[in-house]
Amino acid sequence: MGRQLVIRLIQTVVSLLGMSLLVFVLVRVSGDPVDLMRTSTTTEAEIANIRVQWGLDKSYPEQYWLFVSGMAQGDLGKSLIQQRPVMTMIGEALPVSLSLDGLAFVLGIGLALVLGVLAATKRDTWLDNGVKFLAILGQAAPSFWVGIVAIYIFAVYWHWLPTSGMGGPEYFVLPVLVLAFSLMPGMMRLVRSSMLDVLGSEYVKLARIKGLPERTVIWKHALRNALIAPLTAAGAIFAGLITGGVILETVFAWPGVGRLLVTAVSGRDFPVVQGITMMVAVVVLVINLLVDIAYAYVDPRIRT
Amino acid sequence: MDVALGRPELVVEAGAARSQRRWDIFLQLNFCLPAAMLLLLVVSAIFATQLAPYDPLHTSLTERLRPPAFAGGTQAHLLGTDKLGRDVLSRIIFGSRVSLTVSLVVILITASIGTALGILGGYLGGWVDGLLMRITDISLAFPGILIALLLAVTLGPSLTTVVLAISLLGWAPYARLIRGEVLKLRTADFVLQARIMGCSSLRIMVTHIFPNIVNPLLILATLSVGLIILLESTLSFLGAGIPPPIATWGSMVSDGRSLIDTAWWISFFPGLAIGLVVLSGNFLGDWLRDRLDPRLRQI
Amino acid sequence: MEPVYRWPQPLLQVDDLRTYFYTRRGVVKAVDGVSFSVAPGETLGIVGESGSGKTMTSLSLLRLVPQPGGKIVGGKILFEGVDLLQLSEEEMREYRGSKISMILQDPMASLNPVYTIGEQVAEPLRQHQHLAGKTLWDQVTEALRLLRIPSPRERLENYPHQMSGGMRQRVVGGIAISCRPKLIIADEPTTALDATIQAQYLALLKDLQRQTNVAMIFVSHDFGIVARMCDRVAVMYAGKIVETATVRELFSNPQHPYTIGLVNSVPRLDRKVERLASIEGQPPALLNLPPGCRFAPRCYAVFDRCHVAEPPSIEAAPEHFAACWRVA
Repeated sequence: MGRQLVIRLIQTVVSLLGMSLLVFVLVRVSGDPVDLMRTSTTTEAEIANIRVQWGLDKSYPEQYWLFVSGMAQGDLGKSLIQQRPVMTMIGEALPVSLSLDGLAFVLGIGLALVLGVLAATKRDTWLDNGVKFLAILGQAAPSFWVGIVAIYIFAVYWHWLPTSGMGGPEYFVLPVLVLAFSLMPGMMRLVRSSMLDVLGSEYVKLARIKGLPERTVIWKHALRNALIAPLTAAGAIFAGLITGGVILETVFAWPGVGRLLVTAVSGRDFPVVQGITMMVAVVVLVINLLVDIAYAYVDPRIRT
Repeated sequence: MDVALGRPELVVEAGAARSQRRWDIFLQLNFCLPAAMLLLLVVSAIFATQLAPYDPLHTSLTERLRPPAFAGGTQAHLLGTDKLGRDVLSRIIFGSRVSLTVSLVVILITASIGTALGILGGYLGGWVDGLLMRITDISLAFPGILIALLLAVTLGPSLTTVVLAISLLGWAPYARLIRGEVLKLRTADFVLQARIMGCSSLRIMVTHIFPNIVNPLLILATLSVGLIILLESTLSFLGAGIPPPIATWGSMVSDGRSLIDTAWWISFFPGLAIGLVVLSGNFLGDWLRDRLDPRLRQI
Repeated sequence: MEPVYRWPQPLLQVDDLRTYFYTRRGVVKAVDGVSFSVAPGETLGIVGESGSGKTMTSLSLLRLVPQPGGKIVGGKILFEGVDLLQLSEEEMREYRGSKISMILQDPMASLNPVYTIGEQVAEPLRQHQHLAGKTLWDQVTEALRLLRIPSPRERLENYPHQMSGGMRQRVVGGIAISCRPKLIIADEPTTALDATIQAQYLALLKDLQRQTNVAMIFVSHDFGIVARMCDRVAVMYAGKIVETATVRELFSNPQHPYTIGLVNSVPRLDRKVERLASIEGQPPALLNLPPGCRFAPRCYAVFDRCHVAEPPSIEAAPEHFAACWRVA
């Protein structure tokens, strides 16, 4: 088990390097990277400075080394527009994103689990069909549109909630709900189908033969096994969370990392975009590693 | 004591009954509605100039922010106009061009690359396969939108950028699916038979393996349509898609965002179009899967 | 509930049990009027091909007919005088695992992969006898010991995938015996095991019976195994029991043509045969059965009456029943 952990760790580091290489290549593939750093006010002296800093006169491997070592030390460059370190900007925006994403994640996954299990145990009832219907809608409707429609209904038409921005609890309601709603369908379908598979298994039959109460059969025997499959999709779900967060921060004008990213894109603030991409890469890979560890914990066949 | 014979009964399906079933297809709502919707999409895209009542780029300061016909507007603009006086309906019709084009091109690219890699990895195995799986896993776990945005910043927003970005994200499901199927087929007896007869690996891949993966491929391609359109519209919404003034559904929704309290129709109808097309693609894909290969069912 | 029979009464008395499946294409009468009894400590074998209804019968005894679609529509299941079909679900659950238990066919599938075998054997003890702590684990170890699992205490922490097939099936046996039930239903318990392990396991079950005096219903398609293990046998075909007798009686004097076919199909080392006999044809699809005896299409001794009406169970010899017009 320990050996596998080390292998996964090495794989994670390799993947990270791969990501950085991809970013490195993408940036240079369109031409001279210096052009990306130009704004209307950049002077020739500053350009020369950048060339030195980035080592653009040196060979590609050396440039790559500078790139990677700089990032390892936490230097993600400086924003062209705000002239501040990217790292600092991310640091300011992070708590906002964390609160939105975290709450939505808990709500979305929690609902997905409960609804998925209910739908599987009460197969073909109105509950099951309702859940399936919800899942289909949730996967088809673009989250930014759902957000905007929600704003119209709840904020404009009924004046119950604010239209955008951050603040007290009432500002959280719509963004968290919409983000959770976008996450829920995928997970819910997985939980439902996994649960259906497990409910038809022999060991669940045996659990009933033992005379265990239905509650125990479902929550102790069935669920533990049913969670194994959705766990493998956790990586993709998390990616969806981040994507959704970016979109909804834009819709609801929350000053999080997502909005920072989008503003940077439209303002052609290249260092911010690159910096955020790399940081997210790190976070994603770490999360995936944690998911793999959790997976080994849940399924003893992997452990031993 | 001997045991004598008993003849089992045979059931023969009449030929007439079987051909009757072919026409039943059109009775299945599951097929008709989504197929009709997607047909509408294709028709709009191809015949946009004939179908759209106005030029999508035509601005008019006098016709700004008109509501849809059924909500207080005139028959002249069935779905209303936006803040530059452009007809929403026409822009939606022209927007279908973008959505369709991007979908087709991306599906072609991702299916080809994904299938090729999947076959290679699945058939050759070993470190090739291991590497492929690793890259696929990462590709699926990474929020592709970031790469797309990075590309938008470095290459500038354009059709090419959008296609490239979505393709980079989209090949992985094909690779994984095809690899899975190839793994199953590789150990099948008829493949072993071919090798015994001396067929080369390449020949086996082309003549034996490929025909068996066409079905799952078709299903995935149909299901991809929805995802691609969602991605494309998301990129447009965030400002990293095809730049204005070309009408894309995503950018239309984005334009309407700030006017949601006064002109809800600008965001609503394009978004509805996206949702309906994606829904149709999903339904059609599910229907196809049920017909061709119920083993792949996930629900 | 008042017991229906006076002493001595059979442990289990099944009367006209009917279990039907309601499918989109019609009603499948999987178990259609089955009656038999099991005495305390006795082993009854239920023999039949796939689709004969033998597994559905055993599941019906525990009222675990697969949902959706399956339903016990009629009959009585009298266990120690109590009609199980009249009990509420909670009351029935008290019987399951404690008074009546079951061993399933595939040990890898019947054991939950994420829990230790110790935990899985402990569950029924905890549930029905409310044991805990040292007493609990002593009983668990004892159950495993009865199934001759070596070093049972050390094995408690093992997971199913860490054990061989034969060992796993012993664990399943341990689960079944843990609460010392009066009846164990074994549904094809050796089908998934290697041939060499099969004999071992069967001997183990026989020994277990001797030690605990538990009654057994042994369900199998293998006539040879049933002959070895059982005191009495019931032969099932297409949802009905066609013959019931003691093992000895059945083999020396089979009455129903189907049984005759089965008896002849068992390869024997003491007789020289040119070809192995088999029964031609297929069992009928259970939807829309034609009138008359269900075995008629395959029967060598068929005559007119067989196509008209289903034969009732007729006593051909003392305690030997066959459902065949030929016997009448």
